[in-house]
Amino acid sequence: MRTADAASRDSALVPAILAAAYWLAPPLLCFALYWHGLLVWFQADDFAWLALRFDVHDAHSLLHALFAPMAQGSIRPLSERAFFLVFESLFGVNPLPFRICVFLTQCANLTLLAAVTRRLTGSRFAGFCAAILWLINSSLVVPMTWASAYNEILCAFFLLMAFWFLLRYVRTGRTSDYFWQWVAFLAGFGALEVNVVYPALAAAYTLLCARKYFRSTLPLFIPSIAFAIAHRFAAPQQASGVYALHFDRALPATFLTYGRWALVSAYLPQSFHGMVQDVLLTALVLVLFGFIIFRAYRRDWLPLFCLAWFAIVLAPFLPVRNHISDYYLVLPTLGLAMLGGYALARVWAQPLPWKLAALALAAAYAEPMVRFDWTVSAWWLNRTLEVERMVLGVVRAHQLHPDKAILLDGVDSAAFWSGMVHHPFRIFGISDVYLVPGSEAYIESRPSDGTVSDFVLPSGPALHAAKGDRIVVYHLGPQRLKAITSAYEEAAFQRFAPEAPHRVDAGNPLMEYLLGPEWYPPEGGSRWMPRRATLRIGGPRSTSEKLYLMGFPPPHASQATVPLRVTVDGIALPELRLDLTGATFNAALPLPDQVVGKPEVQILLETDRAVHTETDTRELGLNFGIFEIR
Amino acid sequence: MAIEATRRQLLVSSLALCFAACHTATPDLTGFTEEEPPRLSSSISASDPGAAAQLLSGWEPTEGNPWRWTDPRFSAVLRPSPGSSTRGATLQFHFFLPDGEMSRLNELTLSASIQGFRLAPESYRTVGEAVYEREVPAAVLSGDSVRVDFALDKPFVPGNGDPRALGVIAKRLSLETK
Repeated sequence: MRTADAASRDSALVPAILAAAYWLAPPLLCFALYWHGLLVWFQADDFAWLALRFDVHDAHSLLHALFAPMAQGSIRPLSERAFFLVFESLFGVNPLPFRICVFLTQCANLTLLAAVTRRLTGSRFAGFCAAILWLINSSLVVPMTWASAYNEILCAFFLLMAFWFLLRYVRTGRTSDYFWQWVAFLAGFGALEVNVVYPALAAAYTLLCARKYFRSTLPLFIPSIAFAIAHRFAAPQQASGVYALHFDRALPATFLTYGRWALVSAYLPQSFHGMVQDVLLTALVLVLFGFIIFRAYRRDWLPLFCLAWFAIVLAPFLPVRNHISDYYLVLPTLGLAMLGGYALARVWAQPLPWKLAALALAAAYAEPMVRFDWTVSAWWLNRTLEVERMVLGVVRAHQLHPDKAILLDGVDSAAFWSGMVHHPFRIFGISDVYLVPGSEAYIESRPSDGTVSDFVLPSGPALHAAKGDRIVVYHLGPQRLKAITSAYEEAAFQRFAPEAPHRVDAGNPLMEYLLGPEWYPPEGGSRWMPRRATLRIGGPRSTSEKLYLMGFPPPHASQATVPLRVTVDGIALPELRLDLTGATFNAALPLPDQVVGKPEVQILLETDRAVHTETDTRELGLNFGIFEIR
Repeated sequence: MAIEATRRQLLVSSLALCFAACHTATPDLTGFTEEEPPRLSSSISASDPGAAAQLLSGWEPTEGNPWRWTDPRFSAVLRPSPGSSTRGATLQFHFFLPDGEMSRLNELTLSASIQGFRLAPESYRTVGEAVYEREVPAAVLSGDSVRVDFALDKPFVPGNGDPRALGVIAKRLSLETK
């Protein structure tokens, strides 16, 4: 009896273990492959989202923070705004809970993809293969290592969830499945704009594989069209810059680039085994298209739908030809993974040579993908840890020296462009952090992303601040920030001259010595002058250089424009009228030839207009930010 | 039902513990910087308790004021400001002369030396804020610290039960690179 019971238990246990392994293997592989992503710190756009909480004061500002178009006009209330607001509120500036959320969502995606593919193909093996093929695709590296790319992961979740309920609806005809498809679809708009393509996916599938349900997908287009119109009005299309849309002859080339990256890791340098890459790409394309054609000949349109998924989801990214990014393939490659899984499952029913050929091709796809997933995610980890060392080191330095500005030496291009340019210190309430003079020389220039010199404290103010014991200097080393104030200051006085800078930040206390006594104390990065004020600035180096002024109009300005008279070293420039209708006012003034070549010029600013408020009785003329001669 | 409720409470408690464990409002950042050894300041405020160690002799207690009386002779140690060993520096001593003192003394002369190098004296006749400012040659400013000695030509004895011999009301003493 005991033997029979044990045999019965064993016979029940084995399928249970296999079932568990089936569902658990992809998530476990996900943790094994991308574990670096669990340990990464914040970087780049993350700091803007972490600072979002400073904009939330009440219900109205919360709604604005959640739904107002930001960062290239994107509106992603769930995957970016709520994600950062909620997790930062709960856990502070601690990346681990963010990362755990990303990984758990991705585990759900892998489970959904396996389930969807299994339901589409009727093959458990196809579902398993699809999850693995998608997981190892190198387009996933960035979302698995960068919190701001969570939108891709969350959008995949909603797309797969909606499609899963569509498949259930096709199978059962239950209204509840149709309803939940709608819920998942509508929620997807909170993750990523590309969710608008879901109705096209649903329509394509039903048209090709479940014609009877095609009409039921048509209402799905209504929210997508409404979203597209609303988005166009709320976030006007960018006419220039890397995110500008181009509907031109570059579209096919962009499509082919993405197609290549979907099959051969985008991180593989072309020079590296270039021939092997081309052979692999050709083989994969031939096999996949051969499979699609062969199955279509058999009136099986599922492979064609999988290809359509890739093309449909990729389509919105194609006009952004100047910002081709591998992680835009996260959602399109879901279709290719289903296709690959299906193809492998069909081949698995063939004789051994077919199986071996399929295995060889799958291995040829997987090997570079896995290798570069590992390498690149480790690289991302190291990059964010450098940012962490810099940011938390500055926070510590501020704790130790709260009354002093912090100068950073040794900040390289990666730390600058992944960290400093995104103002990470403000989320800790620290503003006086600068690069040491001359840092521009060893940080790569990227005019489209920012200006390095805006973050550098010029030599004149640096020496002046050192004299007054108002700065501490740290070197960003491989382990931590190292204080080098004494040595740096001594060297700086040998190396630099105390010349007036060509860019004066009126709100920077370290540049106060360049301003006349008329100016009021700085307020949040800018400074008010009364009707008349003076300042010193480095003179123009050539006749082509101009004086640029930037400031901030008063809230509820009573006049649209205000006159300003500028005198340079006693030479009056033509009076100008500043436009006060924007968020900032700006002006560019040609300079008289007489002052060209002078190491320093005196600027006199005069305006007729001055305001007083009920709570502030000062004579407030204009509120200036930056003066620059360039 | 009771078991279900217990499980639910356990789940909620576990989640709360997880949140609490993850939430580090003020993380310990010790170790994120490697600091320099403590160094003397080249600019000290007479009332700053952190700078008290640099006031060598002849300084009265602050008594809670943002200034402190000196004796007729007083000394301090300063760090030469960065670059001063090659460019030289300016010694500045900001102080205050009260009405009671000046009405009794009429004129007061302050002389100083830095590392034994004598600086020109200066006489003061008016009540209120005053500054003693002298240029110091670079050669005097080598090393990590310099001693500054001040001397007044007359002491001020306030009287009214205060037998102390005082100097001036000191505010700030600094060396600034030229």
